[in-house]
Parts: sequence; C-alpha cells; structure tokens
Amino acid sequence: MSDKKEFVANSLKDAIQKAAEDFGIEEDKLKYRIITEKTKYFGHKQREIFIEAWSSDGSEQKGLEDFVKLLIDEMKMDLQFELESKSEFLRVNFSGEDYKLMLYQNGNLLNAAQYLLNRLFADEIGKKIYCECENYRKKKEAELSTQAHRFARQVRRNGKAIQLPELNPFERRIIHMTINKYLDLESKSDGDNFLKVITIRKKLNG
Amino acid sequence: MKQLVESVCKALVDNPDQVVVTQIDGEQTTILELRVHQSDLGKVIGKQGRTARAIRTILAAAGMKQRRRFNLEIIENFDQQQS
Repeated sequence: MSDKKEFVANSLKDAIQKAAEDFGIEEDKLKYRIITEKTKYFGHKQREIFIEAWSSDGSEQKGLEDFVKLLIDEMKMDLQFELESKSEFLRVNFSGEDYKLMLYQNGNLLNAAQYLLNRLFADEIGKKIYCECENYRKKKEAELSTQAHRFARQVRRNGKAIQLPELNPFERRIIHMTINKYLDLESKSDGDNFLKVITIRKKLNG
Repeated sequence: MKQLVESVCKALVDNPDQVVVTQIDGEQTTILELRVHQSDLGKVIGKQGRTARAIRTILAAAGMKQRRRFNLEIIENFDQQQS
C-alpha cells in the first residue's frame, strides 16, 4: 500500500479529484476515508471536507485473503472462501463441510469473523466487509421479516405492545424496516449494549 | 491458534513489537496469555469488549472442532512486570 495523504476541498468529489491528480492515478484506483466535514457560518457559506487518500494496488485485498486463509488453517476447519468485490462492499463467501460450525449459535462465528475482518481491513480496503455462509444472512433476513409481519399483525389485533428478544444491529434494521411499512405501528430499540430489545406497539395517535 | 491471536493483535495495536502470546498446554485446555503494551489494552479489548469477545468466539469454535478448550487471558500489568 502506498503512503497516505490528506486533502481538503469544498466537496467530496473535488477532494477525490484533487487526490487522484496528486497521485497521478485514475479515480477508481484511489481509496479514501473521510476524516471530517466542516461547514462555515452554519452551512451558509462553504463546506470543507477533509479526506485521507491513498492509491490502491490491490495489496489490501491480498492481506485480507491471507488472513482468512490463516484463520481457516489455524482453526483446522474444512472451509473454502471466495471474495466478491462490489462497489459498496466486499463479500467473503464461506462454503464447505464445516459450514454448520460457522453458523453455530445464530451465526456467532460468522459475526465474529466479520467484525474482526472489518476492524483489521475495512479502513485499508475502503469499504465494508460482509461475511456470508450458505446464504445465511439472506435466509435470516427473510425469516426475520416474516416474523416481524407476524408480530405486527398480533399487535394490531390485540393492541398490546410486544417486546422481542435481544437482537444485533443487522437484525434490528430488518425489523424496523418491516414495521415502518405499517403506518399505525412503531418500533423502538431499548438498551445501551450492542444487543438491544425492540418493542413493537401501536402509535399513540395512530 | 497462537499465531492467529498474535497476528490479529499485532494488526490492531500501535506497538506490535510488544505483543507477546504465550501458549500453555494442559491436558484438555490450552491457555493463551496475551500481553500488550499498556496503552494498547483498549484496542485488543475493543468497545464493550467486542474485539476480545470475537477472538474468544473464534477460539471456542476452533476448540469445538479440535476437541480442546482454548482460553484467552489478557494480562494487564505488562509494564509493571517489565520494570
């Protein structure tokens, strides 16, 4: 990975352009991270955006690949993985004999691996990393959405609020998005921890 | 597993040369003692202990596969032991 440099401009587009010119590379080969955004005079005058940029030669992805290999080898798991690079995220797709262990206890290991990969590589790669295994997240999404619809109907029917068990942010997002479709219902997360409980209830004025 | 813990922690901290992982093998249990620079403790533990928990989850899963228990112990007073 090349050296990182800081750039400042009035918009993100300008800052990226400036950085690309400075490194003498195409914009799509540039990786960046927004450091801070400032507005002068309460946003009436101009905006200043600070970014940290570096040119990418694909070595970050190599680092991630090596790490995942090390993880699988050290755990002595029978797993294979594929990397799928999208514009907004990088997906690590696990498959193989030991996929059940990967999904053990509600995808505990999958979540742990995803968290560590993000902490170690997300900044360098410049996008979020998602870990997927045997379509677990897709299935979970569908399952949670069905569950949320069922809870919504139940709340509508007997008017009593329902409290769901502790959920992680990914799961909560799906529940909130589903409940938002019901105009007379609302959902609220409670708690200070990573895992929070969601309450679904009728809107007071609904 | 020692190598994995070491590489994760070295990537997380500001002082990678001060990351020391000691492996103590028992009959059924392996204890991994992790020592880092005092100022890096927060980094290996993470917000609300998430990083440490993620490492422990990986160790637990590896333990299930290898039929062994892996314990991660984060040792705090590295600086004091040094002096």
